Amino acid sequence: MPAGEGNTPVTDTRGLNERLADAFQALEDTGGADVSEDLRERIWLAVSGTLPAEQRRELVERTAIDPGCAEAWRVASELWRASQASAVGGAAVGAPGLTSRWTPRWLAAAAALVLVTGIGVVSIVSLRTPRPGDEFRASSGFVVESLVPADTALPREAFRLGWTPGPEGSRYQVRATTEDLQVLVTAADLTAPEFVIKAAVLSRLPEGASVFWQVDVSLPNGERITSSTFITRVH
Amino acid sequence: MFVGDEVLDYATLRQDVARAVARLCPRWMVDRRDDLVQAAVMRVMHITAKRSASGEETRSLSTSYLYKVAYSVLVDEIRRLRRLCETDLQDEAVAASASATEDPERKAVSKEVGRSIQDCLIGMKRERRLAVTLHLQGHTASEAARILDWAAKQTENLVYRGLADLRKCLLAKGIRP
Repeated sequence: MPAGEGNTPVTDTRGLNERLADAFQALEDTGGADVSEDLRERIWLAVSGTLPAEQRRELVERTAIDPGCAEAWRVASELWRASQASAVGGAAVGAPGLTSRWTPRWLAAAAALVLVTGIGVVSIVSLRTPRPGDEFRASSGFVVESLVPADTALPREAFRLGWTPGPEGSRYQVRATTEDLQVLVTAADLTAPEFVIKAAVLSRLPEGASVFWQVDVSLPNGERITSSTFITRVH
Repeated sequence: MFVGDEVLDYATLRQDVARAVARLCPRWMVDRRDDLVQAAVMRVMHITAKRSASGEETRSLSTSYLYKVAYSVLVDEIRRLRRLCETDLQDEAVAASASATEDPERKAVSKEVGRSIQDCLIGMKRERRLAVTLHLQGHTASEAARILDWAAKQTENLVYRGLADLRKCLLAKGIRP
């Protein structure tokens, strides 16, 4: 840190600064080289505060000249911020690894006490909750389940997906993808808990290919529930 | 989904990914925001399910791992979508969507300014360059101070002076930001 950088207050030139930031971030569109796994890992460690300070500075330096690195940094930062907001707002989720970093030393003792209490709460929740696998619960207790039997292959000509209906007035959104997650079809604002994928949409899939599908349910009370991902093969 | 002793909350993850995407999403990608979120979450689920099923490194399949995977997946998905928009010229829907949300001339000017900013950053004192880079990346002065491990007030001043340097440098290049 250089000496004598002064104490001049920062003036508000927000509009100009935002334009500069927009232009800098627009460089992502030029499509730089791929961001390696190692670089991604270090970026994540940097934004989460785990990487040593000098290595963080080196990474920041790189983002100044490498648009791919800069973009990955922004993605990591935004997801980190979002996860922090959730960790603060939703204690039941529990994200000890996300909340323990970037913590001033004077808070460590208090944090340790909270963590011990948290572990107790999580343990109780885990013991009291059955472990049914990939299920998603809403606060209302409603769970979206597939009505297509597991390990079933459906004919292309009648590829009818069905799921447990929500309360009267519920709306459904369905998305289906291939195994490599290319979107096959999406359908929104459905009123019935079923959807038929047309044979033409499935025509490019080989025999036995898996279709991944997922349902979003919008309940009348405004709550939104996302199902787990179901897999149905094409016959 | 349960892994080890920890509950992996995909619904919360989905909300967080959506929030992050909403802040990140460039104009040309606005119409595809939902697809991006959906694809990212499904890929995360796919990866974690595979790792869980194979028993590979089960101890690291924690909530923090889930967010790290989501970050990496989002990086891939954004790049994939960009490539799709750049190459899939036959897709009328994509072309129409891109032209509706992006002014090509404005985009080109923005890129030129962006490249000039890069040049100016390279010529800047290191401390100012680091502080300004984080500012341009959307970090507040206090976040930048934390990342750089410098005092908050000094980091604020580095940002301030660095931005002044940047504006001067851009003007010298004939760019009035």
